[in-house]
Amino acid sequence: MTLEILLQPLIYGLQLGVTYILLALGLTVIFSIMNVINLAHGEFYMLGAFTVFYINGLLRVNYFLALIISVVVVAAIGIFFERIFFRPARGQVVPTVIVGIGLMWLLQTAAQLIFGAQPRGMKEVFQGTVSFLNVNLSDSRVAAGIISIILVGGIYLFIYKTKLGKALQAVAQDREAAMSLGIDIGKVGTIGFGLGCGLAGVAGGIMAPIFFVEPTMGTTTLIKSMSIIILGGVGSIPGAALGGLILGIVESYGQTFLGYSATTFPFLIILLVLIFKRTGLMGRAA
Amino acid sequence: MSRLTLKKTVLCVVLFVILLLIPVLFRNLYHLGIITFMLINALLAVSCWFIMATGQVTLGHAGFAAIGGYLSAALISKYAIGSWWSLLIAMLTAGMVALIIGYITLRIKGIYFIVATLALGEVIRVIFGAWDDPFGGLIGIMNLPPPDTIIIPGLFSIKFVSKVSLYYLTLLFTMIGIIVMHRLNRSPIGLVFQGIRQADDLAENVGINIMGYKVLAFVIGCIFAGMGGVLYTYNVGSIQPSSFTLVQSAYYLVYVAVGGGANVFGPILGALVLNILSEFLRPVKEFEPIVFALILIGAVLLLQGGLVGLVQALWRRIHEIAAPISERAI
Repeated sequence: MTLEILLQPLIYGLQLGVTYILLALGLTVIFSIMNVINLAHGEFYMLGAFTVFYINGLLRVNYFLALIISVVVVAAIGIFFERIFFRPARGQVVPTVIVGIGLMWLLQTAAQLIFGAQPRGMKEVFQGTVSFLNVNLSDSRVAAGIISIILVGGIYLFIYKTKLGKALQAVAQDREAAMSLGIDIGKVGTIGFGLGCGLAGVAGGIMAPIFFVEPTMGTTTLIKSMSIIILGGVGSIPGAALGGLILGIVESYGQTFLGYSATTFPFLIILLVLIFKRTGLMGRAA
Repeated sequence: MSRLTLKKTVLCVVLFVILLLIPVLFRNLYHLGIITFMLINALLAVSCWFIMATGQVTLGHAGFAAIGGYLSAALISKYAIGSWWSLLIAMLTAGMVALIIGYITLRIKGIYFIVATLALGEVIRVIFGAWDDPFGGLIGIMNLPPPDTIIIPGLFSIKFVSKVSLYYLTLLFTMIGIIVMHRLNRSPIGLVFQGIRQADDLAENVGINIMGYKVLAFVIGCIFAGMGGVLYTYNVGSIQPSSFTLVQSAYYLVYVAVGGGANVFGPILGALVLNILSEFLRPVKEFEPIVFALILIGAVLLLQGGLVGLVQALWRRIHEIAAPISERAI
């Protein structure tokens, strides 16, 4: 009995955690390239969730196809806004931050007008539950966990094993050196931004059958993603993975035992990291 | 130079007289209410600008206004503490929170301050929404009594029941806040702020404690944000978790971005222009945030110095054209 109470949140947390990794990876990739946090990251997550909600939930298109469409749609929206809003800010910190908050505000309100403000539940894609050791996990959550793990693996291979992934790393490490080696900074920037937004979008699509979908879901998502990358170490990809799992588990236990106040956890994590280990768990010293 | 100072003094006196005459000019209490909120928004915009003078963007400014508003409301309604003491305690609390958060997040350069202020703004809203006693949970605190009467024995007493008296009260505190921040910005401390914004590495190398100055700017700005929150609460007579959200913080950024950051008139002008625009947008209220978000992005990308920068550039052009003629005349 007590074992289940302790195990159930752990399993839930692990599932949340692997999906959080996708979000945090998206934010990290964009941060590495722009050197500034994309404050509209949560809104791309929201857009991905709505894409799946409409395409799978209402148009009855296959769920996996809907997920792929959500990546493409959200990446395209992201690239569009990178071109018209972020690129003219030329990487200066204050303008980029303000443009980010403007975009966040714009997308959130546009979503409220287009989709309606009320939270909506999607019909479950996978029925049934898996249970072992008296711990129950709905098939939706199992599927979400598996899809997330596959995607995280794919991103890992892309960044570390492909030429384009290495170009991304090079730009993140040293823009000018990368440029002098003949890497097309503009093209890599566009691809990186699209990838980052697409990851946020697919994370939203994965979560859509599990949680409610609503236009304001982006803000808490952004704060969670930011706390993950600060916990893991800003710019570190393994750090983002570790941070995502930790936040997922901590939050899951918090919601089980403390309820609503668990929403303050990401903020507390940020403060604790800054007080005790500024570089995060796996970040290099600045 | 003295002619310029004289011009400025005359301008300030004229502005001040206009502000004093507002309740006479706008007899409609609805309009007077809007102007009162414009003053509060101007105060919040100026306090946001004051922090941004060090090159920091705060995304949790509404949170500090919420601290001020909530604390004063709770002290008055639940603990029967006088309005003026409540105002003071609320402002100091906002400053204390800013001191702690600023000290933790501003030690390290980078994204931490932005991230932390954004998260803080949300956390403050969640905390007040979850805390039933004394903050009233999701309903908030309603039906606050009007601010305490000021009695000067034997001479007169001022009651703050009518909208007109609340306007003057708001005007007084807004003016105090704006003048204090303006004077500080023009003082040697303000010059250091400017130095940090333009080149913090350089400022650090010449021995300036940049962390200390950044925290100082943040604390002072937040104290006055708290004051803005208190003034809001005293005017409305109630406060809810939805009174101060991230969107509100975004509004203050728009005021600064549109008005310009060169001097104190930027955020004031921004608040004025956009509040008037907001009134015109009232029939299509649901589109207002979209318009404002686009204005924010447009102002940052296209209008670097804001409206004040535009006016200054025009002024210089006029002088350039006019100067040779006047010289010839002499």
